[in-house]
Amino acid sequence: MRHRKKNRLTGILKVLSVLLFILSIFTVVWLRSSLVSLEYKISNLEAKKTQMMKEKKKLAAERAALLSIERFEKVAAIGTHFAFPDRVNVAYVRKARDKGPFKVSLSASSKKDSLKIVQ
Amino acid sequence: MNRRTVILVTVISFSFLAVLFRLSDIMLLNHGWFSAKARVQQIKKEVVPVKRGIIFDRRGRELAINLETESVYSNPSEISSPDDISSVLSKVISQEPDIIFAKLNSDKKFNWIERKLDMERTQMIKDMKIKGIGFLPEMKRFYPKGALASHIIGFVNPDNNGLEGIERKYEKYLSARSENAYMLRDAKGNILSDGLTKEIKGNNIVLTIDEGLQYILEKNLDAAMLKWKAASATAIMMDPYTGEILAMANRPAYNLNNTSEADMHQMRNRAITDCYEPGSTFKIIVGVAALEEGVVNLRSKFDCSAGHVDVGGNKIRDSHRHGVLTFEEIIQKSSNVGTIKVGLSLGKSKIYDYIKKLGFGEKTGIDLAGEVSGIVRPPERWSGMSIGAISIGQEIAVTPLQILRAYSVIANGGFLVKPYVVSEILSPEGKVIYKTVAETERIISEKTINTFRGILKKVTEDGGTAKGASVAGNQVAGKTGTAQIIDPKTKKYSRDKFISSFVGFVPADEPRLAMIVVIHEPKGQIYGGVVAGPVFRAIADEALSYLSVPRDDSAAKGLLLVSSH
Repeated sequence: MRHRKKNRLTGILKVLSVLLFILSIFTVVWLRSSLVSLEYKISNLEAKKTQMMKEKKKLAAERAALLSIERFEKVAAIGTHFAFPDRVNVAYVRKARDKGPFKVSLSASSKKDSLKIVQ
Repeated sequence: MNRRTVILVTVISFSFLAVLFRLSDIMLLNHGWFSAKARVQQIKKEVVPVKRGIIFDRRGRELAINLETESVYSNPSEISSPDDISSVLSKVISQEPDIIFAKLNSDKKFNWIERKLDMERTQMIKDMKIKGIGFLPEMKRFYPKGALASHIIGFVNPDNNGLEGIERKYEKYLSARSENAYMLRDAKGNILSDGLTKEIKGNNIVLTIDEGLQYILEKNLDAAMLKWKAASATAIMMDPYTGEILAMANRPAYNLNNTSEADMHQMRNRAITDCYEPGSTFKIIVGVAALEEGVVNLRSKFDCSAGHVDVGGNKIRDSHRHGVLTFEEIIQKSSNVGTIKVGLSLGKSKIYDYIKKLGFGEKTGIDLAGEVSGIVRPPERWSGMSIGAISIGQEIAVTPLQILRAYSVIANGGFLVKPYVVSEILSPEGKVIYKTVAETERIISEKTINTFRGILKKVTEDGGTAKGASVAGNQVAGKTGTAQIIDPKTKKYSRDKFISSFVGFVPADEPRLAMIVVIHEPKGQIYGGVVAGPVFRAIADEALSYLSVPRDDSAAKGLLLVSSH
């Protein structure tokens, strides 16, 4: 009786071992295939990223060219008649370090030569 | 066991044995050969393109950047019909079908078809899916500002090696050693990525150049070239206290994105590679030396009424008779006779000492390729006339940068500076790996400098030679120069070819910038005060506005003072 029980347990263990072995093989295969599939995905994403980076660099180059001062002046001169400020008409304001910037405007009482400071 | 079973078991056993034998062959007996073959098939080697460092101006604006492009190559052994392919490709890339056909039909295994194609055209060729046509990633240098600062920035060859300017001088910092990357690929050639992208970047460079000031300088130089129909022109703007080059330009210039159409005449950085006889702008050397040595003072008088002076058996003349002039008036009116008389009282040894002291006859040490030292002969090799000729800027060859550096000594209070164009080198991560420190050395006393600065201010006032160089709101100190050019045919001074120049600094008492303008062979007018002076004024006026420099009279008129901080 005891011998039969032992045989049955051994049989079950054998079957389980075989199943476990097969399962582990499939797990390894599945893991490997997932890894490869992930590698493909990463590769595709990298290709997209490279393409995007190319476009980004191209746009950055265009931006740098568009932001040239030469272009600004041409556009400003043609479109809006802007020009470099005439230095005779520019007033410079000393900005206090610990306070907000001063606003400068022509005083209402004597617009001729005085400047009114509004804080 | 019946017969069928025996056969089946035998077949299976032999099959297993065959598999076992093959596995042993692959994994044990010929492992090395098979693994090498597998590596070739599964692992792809690619050269990682080096991203050259970016070149910035002093305010961080990009002057040289990289574009990611692809180059098209062919493997002629895989090309099936070169005739058809060459005609199809010629429609996309700007090459004659015959040229492409020759590349597709060659004996080599690798031939470039077109390098650094733009994205759109690369995609068009990729979509054709032509067997034997491949693509390799390559970085293309792009200069967003075109011709701006072309002589400073320089350019690279198709293999991205620096050939001119900063690109050449700082090649070892901007570039990096190329490396290979290895990646797995499947039977169809698809890449299996490990997610680790390799990047090789060079160091970034920050220049002392300001794009705004450079543009102002170049715009006005173009206008001067047009107005005076000049052969060439040069202008340099420098911080007189530190030697930082704020702007430097030459005309003719060239577009950095299209260097194949430029010739050597356009590529030369005349500011440092071309020597010329400076003429009257050189008179300050004798003037400063005479003051420093105590040979003259402001009230010293010299009789220039003859209109000429005999030196070594030769007569050197003034453009017109001046009468008796004080030392101050000699410089203000740029009298040849007066300057020579001052030079004679100084002696050739002292003149030579001060020429050397002010940096002539040797390179300034600017960090740009191709600088020349100029020509200064030692007194032993001077002729009898030399002391007169050299006093007025003849028999000597200098570069525009050397002259500007000498004037900076007066602008900054007596210190000789070392000009430079690179202020910082940054690692790809943004860490400062090199920072230029201004090198200065006192060579003239403050007293002499203050006196001479006062004299140079008079040059742009009424009665001076350069009224046209004066700027509204700020006093300019400077000196004109009108030098004759030696005709290479006659070996004598040409009667109709001149170099007009003006060099000075502004505001005179607290200079923000020192600048030289040199116009070669202007037509119609020749005098430095008429040709180069107004160019100086136009540039200085816009530059001071750009830099928010207040007018000299701001405080006196009760106007508020500027502070950009």
